[in-house]
Amino acid sequence: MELKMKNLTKEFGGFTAVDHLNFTMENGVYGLLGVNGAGKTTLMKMLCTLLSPTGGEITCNGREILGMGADYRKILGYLPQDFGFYPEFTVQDYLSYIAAIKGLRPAVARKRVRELIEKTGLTKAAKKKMKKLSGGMKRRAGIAQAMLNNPKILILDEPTAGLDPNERIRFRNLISELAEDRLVLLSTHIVSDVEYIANQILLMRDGKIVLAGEARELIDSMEEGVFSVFVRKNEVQHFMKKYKVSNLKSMHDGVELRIIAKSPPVLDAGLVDANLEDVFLYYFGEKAGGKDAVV
Amino acid sequence: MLWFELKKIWSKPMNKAAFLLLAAVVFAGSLLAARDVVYYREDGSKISGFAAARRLKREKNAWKGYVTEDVLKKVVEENKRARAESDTEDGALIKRQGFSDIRDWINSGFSEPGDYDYYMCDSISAEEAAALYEKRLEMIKKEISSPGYSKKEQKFLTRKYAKFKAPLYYEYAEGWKALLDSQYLPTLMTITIVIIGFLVSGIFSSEFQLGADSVFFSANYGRNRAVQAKIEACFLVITAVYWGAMVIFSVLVLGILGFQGAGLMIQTDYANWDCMYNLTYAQKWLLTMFGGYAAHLFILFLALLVSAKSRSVVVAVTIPFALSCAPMFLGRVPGLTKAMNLFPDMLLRISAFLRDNIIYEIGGKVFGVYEMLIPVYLLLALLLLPVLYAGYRRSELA
Repeated sequence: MELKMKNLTKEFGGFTAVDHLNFTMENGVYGLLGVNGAGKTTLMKMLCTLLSPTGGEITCNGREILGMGADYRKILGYLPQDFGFYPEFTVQDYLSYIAAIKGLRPAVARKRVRELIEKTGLTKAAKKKMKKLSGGMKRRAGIAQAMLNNPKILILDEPTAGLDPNERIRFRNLISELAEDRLVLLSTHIVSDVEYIANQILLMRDGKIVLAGEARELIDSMEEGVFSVFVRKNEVQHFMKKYKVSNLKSMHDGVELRIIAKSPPVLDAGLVDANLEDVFLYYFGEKAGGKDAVV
Repeated sequence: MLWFELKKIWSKPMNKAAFLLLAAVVFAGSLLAARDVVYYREDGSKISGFAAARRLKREKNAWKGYVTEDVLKKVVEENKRARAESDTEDGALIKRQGFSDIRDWINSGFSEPGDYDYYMCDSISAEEAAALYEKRLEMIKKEISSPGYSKKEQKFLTRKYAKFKAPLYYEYAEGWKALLDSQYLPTLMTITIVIIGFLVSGIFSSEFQLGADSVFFSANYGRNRAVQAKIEACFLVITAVYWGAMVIFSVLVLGILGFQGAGLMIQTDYANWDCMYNLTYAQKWLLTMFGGYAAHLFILFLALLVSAKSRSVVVAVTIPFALSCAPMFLGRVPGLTKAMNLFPDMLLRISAFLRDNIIYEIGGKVFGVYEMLIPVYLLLALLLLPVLYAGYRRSELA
């Protein structure tokens, strides 16, 4: 399975959401990281044929996906960021309906719905109305619907948003389990999610993929070091203004800062191992200081 | 897929409430229509509904048969006897209940057009009354030759009226008259279209409203068969609810008042005396029902098209309401009447307006308004389907 984006562009009025993007994906898990407004959702919507590109094209094994139509959608599974559902349907009804519009034969659909309800831990909630489910259960129903047709291409837009830590871990494991022999593109701004499960991480900014590679490659690409510094509380603002601070931990006698810099910010600063969050901050600068960037 | 589309509609509590409201309107409307049939007892007291229908049937069926010259003479004589034997006009009315319809024909036939004289029958002789059908023809010829009609319209009307066959056959038909000659049926049709509009308005907008659009359109059948299933669901709901409401209403009214009289010409109700359509009550029922169905299909598919484009339930709900009610009021504005008579709401009111003989000359051809509107709106409804299908399947989700 090869999904290729050639000069892919999407403009809304004067705003370019995806800007002449060139990238090729094959089987494996791809984590798409970027701040809000980077163009992740627009890219995913184009990959799901929900939006037509303004320029360029997307091909699947050499064929243009919009031209493939139902042939492409047949091998596609999508969990959107704002996953909507039919509130009066039970989980079983909802999945059966999606199975029907995905073209599964009734007997196959029944079996597949049963399997996925079990796999996503929704057995007890199968007869519950969708509107009665918790946030985590809804997301699980969401991943179940995306998997109904056993898709070769699975696109998950912010699948862990709004989940508690337990649900997130469970969800990550589920995605890892489902990722075998298919192409999974996972978008998030929760860095630790992709760190655990993605083979390839794509950093997206202003509609472009600015960096792609394995977690280690991305970390190694940083030209600055990560330092742990212990400072007094009244010094924090000074360091925040001067350096990129990827973490801040208050203690009873001061504050421990995690600083990205070319050289040690203070003499007793300790060099520590960089992680993906540091990479995120390094490449996305001040914006990474937003509340969403730190897990 | 179709099953789930229907389930989406019926699973909504508001839709269930709307459906129950329609059921209540059908039952209440049929009881009110039946209650309008009244019978006066000898003591002057009044009864209505089923009991009245039973007594009227007995009295009216005593006059059952072709209303020939002899029957018309007999009606005039009986009418005079009833008046002579009664102290008051009300007393005479009680005695006339069996032949009051035929008395009304005579009143209509001999009154000046637009100036119905209730006492006309009291003042003419039996010999004069015997010429009722000739008098009708004479009046119609006079009316047709008025300057308001073009040559082609005159020819069209003459041809229509020539098909009228005298003498008329008469029997009890209060059930059909209550069903088709009252205001209940047009009102019910207006309520039905608004309620069906409410039921189906979400079919093409709910995915957008609920945020389920991405999953829907990225599915294998999301841009073909699933859209088709939505259209099929709409068609089924419109058809089932419309015909269900109309048939139940008709069966209830006729069940209470009697099915007898289906083969009677509509001219046997004096209000239709000058009607150019030579139809039996059963034929008028079919025309009314199919006309109403054509209006429902057109107006509701138009509402669905707007719903699919605007992705809004509210806009879609207002269209059936606006199209079924607004032209009726706008039609009262001088200068707009002729244009408003071409709006689809006219098809919801066939039972009430059929007697008005509305005709149009278009491209040198003359049409009765319903002969023209029913096929036109059916065709337009059919043409809306591919537009709806193509427009919805190409939806882009920004």
